[in-house]
Amino acid sequence: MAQLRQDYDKFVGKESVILVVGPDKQADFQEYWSKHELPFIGLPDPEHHVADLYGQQVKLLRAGRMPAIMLIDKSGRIRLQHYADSMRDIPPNQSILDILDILNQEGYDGAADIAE
Amino acid sequence: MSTTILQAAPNFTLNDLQGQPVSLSDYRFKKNVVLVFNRGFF
Repeated sequence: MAQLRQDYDKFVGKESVILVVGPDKQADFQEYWSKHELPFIGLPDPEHHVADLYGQQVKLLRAGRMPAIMLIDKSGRIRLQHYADSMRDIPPNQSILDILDILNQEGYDGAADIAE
Repeated sequence: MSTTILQAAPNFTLNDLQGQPVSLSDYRFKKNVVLVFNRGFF
């Protein structure tokens, strides 16, 4: 989390938002957020709705394979997933930023090619 | 382990720390989303 925070402005500059989903309750999120002054959007999910959704529908997020990081482009497609043993094990920010550059250069032409 | 893929991301809605609903689809055509699944803080 600290690693992502370090380059937060660069992520914002690349037309991106950072959403953090976790099993902690809202009060625990708030405590952690204020302690570490995190600028990300925190999304408490104590009942694992989103983790289950991604695990069942997309077969991406398997139990025990957290933390994980995914890049979703503006057209709503997952472009990269990464499983880690800890938040220290996520890809270097520069790798993620480089991929965001590629996604931004691609542009997009609407939702026509996305299966709903 | 990183994988490059191309798959529609399922939409979801959760409340943020201010209690406001946030949906993945809010960012469609506006922002790239870095979605982090955290394991828990404590």
